[in-house]
Amino acid sequence: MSSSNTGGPEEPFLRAAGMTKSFGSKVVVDDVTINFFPGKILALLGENGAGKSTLISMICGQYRPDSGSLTVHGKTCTFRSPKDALKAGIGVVYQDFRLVPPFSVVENVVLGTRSRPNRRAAARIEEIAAELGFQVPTHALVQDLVVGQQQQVEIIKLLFRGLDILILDEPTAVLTPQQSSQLFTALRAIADSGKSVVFVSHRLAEVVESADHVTVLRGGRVVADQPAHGLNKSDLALLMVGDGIATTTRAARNRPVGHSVLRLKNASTAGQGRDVLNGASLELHAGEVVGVAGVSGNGQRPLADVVAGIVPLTSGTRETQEERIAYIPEDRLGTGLVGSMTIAQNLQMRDYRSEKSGNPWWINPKTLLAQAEPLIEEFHIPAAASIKVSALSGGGQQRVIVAREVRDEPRILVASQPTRGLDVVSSTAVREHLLDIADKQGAVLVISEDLDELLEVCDRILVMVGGEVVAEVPRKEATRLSLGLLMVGSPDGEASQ
Amino acid sequence: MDFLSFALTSAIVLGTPLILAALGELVSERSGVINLSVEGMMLVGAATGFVVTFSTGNIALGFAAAALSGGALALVHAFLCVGLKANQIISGLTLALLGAGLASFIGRDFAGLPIPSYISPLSIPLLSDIPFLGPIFFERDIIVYAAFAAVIITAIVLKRTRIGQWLKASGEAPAAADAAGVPVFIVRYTAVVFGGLMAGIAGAYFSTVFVRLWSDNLTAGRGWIAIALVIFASWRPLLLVPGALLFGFLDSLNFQFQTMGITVSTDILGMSPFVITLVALTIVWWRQQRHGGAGVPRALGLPYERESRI
Ligand SMILES: Nc1ncnc2c1ncn2[C@@H]1O[C@H](COP(=O)(O)OP(=O)(O)OP(=O)(O)O)[C@@H](O)[C@H]1O
Ligand SMILES: [Mg+2]
Repeated sequence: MSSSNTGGPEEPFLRAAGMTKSFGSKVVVDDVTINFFPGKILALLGENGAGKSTLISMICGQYRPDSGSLTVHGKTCTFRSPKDALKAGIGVVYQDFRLVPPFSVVENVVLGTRSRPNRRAAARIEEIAAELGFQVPTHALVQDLVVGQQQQVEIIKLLFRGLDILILDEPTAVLTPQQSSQLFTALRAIADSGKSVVFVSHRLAEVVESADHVTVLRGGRVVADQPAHGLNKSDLALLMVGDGIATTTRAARNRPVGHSVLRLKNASTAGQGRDVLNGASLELHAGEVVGVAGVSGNGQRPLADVVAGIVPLTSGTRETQEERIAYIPEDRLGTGLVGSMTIAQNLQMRDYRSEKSGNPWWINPKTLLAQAEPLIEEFHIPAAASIKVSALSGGGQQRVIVAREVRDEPRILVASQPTRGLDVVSSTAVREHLLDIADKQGAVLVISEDLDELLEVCDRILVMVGGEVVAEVPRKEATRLSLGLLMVGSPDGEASQ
Repeated sequence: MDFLSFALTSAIVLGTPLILAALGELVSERSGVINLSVEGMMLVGAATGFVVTFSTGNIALGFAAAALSGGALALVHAFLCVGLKANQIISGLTLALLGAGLASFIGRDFAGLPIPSYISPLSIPLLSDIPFLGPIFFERDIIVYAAFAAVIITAIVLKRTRIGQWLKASGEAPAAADAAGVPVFIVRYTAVVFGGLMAGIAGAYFSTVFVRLWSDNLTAGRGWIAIALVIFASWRPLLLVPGALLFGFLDSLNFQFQTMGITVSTDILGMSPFVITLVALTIVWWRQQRHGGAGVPRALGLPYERESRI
């Protein structure tokens, strides 16, 4: 944190003052003032729905603010489109990436600039990548890259344009711990070169470690704006939620482990590439929480699909008597929810055939809304039942899925990245729900890139490499280090079993 | 002229309006906007082109008017779908019907009147001397050459130019294009209007060069075939050519069997292009599903709204 101590009264690169934005009658960002300084890394924090992404969207020309003014390098600006913001030197890596999948890396990087996707551009990209320790094949198609690489492309895109304000919305939500620390090393290098870096994160540990300054939003207003120096995780959590709500999950109880409820033997799935099952075996028992760790793209996603029963096997067997299987998929809007339908409709989606929705042939909108209300209450979904799911913040959407899947006390619950993008409080709540299911003698399979999460809730942890379950570690013996080694297929990890 | 060279010749002549219209549709779809009103725009172009040519005796003016009228109809589509984010399917279908009605209205007083042949074949020196193929391919009129040239130019623009990248990015990932500073709305507007111009020209070719007559519903479903052609071609310009020639050929059989005295029901022949369309669509779609990379622009049919999520 070399630059954090210099803190003189420098001119900010960007000053956004009095920013306000409402959707309908709801004020989402309320009179926010924020400064981005050169050479500094600013962390923008806040609960799900606090207005972080909305604020960023206004700064980068995506949304038009209702009121407020932007001053960039001392000049007042109004942005009509992202293009105007780019011209002023402001670039964003969005929560959901903005890349053209069938374009190559070079084509994506030069898109919208005056450069052509030629060798010169490729050379420049490689230069930038080398400086940051990134490895991106410049001529590969973006759709063939893994998430971590796609994000690197996004960052290169901004640096290629010579932008000096870089904003990253939840950049680490989709990264493994190793990738995250690599990212922060790169961001520090970028800041040290005199640029201004802003990032949003719900992982407070990395904020403490990497930020020079924190700005905290709560309910659309700034509640804290101070140097990060001297703040620890619980200080930050307190600033975000405003009171002493529990942010750590209760210690897991000693549950009796019951009979076997699902057995997967040598399961393989169709498809090419690494992200398939390739002879994976596992067994779930009533009343236990089983974790799956692994570097992303090693078969976790098909494993979840197979256990949930939505993808057929090409070989091997899946045995289970249970029918009440619930699934929290990794891909929120793709497989989890229908964005264009309301919260009430999404909540009801599992029950369209059951008596619970009343008549099996008719959908009664009133019953639908009435049934949604208690869930919205219980799971703290931050909007009314009649609002479209796509209007919710990332965290809000996740709560809708969790509410729908957890409320019927399933016998088997498959939860893929259940707390991705959730703030501390909501994450804790979701983990509580997982443990509750196990307490009620359900079997829970948690797939997560967050090792701390696995260590916190699981009774045993499986490690996947190349579509196989290569190791199983009881929680008591597992550590971040031993799991990390097993994940990269290191013999040391194997030996420590 | 023997049967084969006659068949090939008419395949080219009848394929030309298909190429023109399909190329316009392809560009529009690559930008993310599906335009189902090609038939309507062709009819309006055919009627306007005929009326103007008939009245002024200037076929260049006729083509210009046809292009403008097709483009104007497309502008309505663009305004509804890109500007107001209306449903592209509904807007397209409505405009297809509206265009047919409008065309009947424009051409009402001109139905059945003949016009002279204004455009004569332009034989290309040397190339037209190639035995057999020369006269078929290189003694055609300027519009035919222009249509083929347009295909090649479009292919190059799509592959090699910045405009091409903008177009493809707008159709694949408009939010990404917008974030990168590509003027997505302008690109989509332009692409849709270009599609309208091309469909208008295609219609005028039909009414002023090929049949040299105006009658209601003159294009008889060729606009719909043009839309199907874009799918056969997997949204790639060069692949439009074989498809268009095939349909031009099938189409020409209708005329040929009559001249040869073979009695096949013209109704059945008239249906054949559509039957082939269904068969070919099934095969092409099935292949694309199996081998992936169907080439469908990912954001095809989806309006882009900057302030809404997803
Ligand atoms: N286009 C929109 N239409 C309607 N409501 C919206 C829209 N965009 C955001 N909102 C609402 O604004 C609030 C703030 O959303 P925002 O995405 O800024 O939150 P966030 O702080 O980024 O949360 P998260 O951590 O979950 O990403 C949410 O309640 C959301 O429902
Ligand atoms: Mg957000």
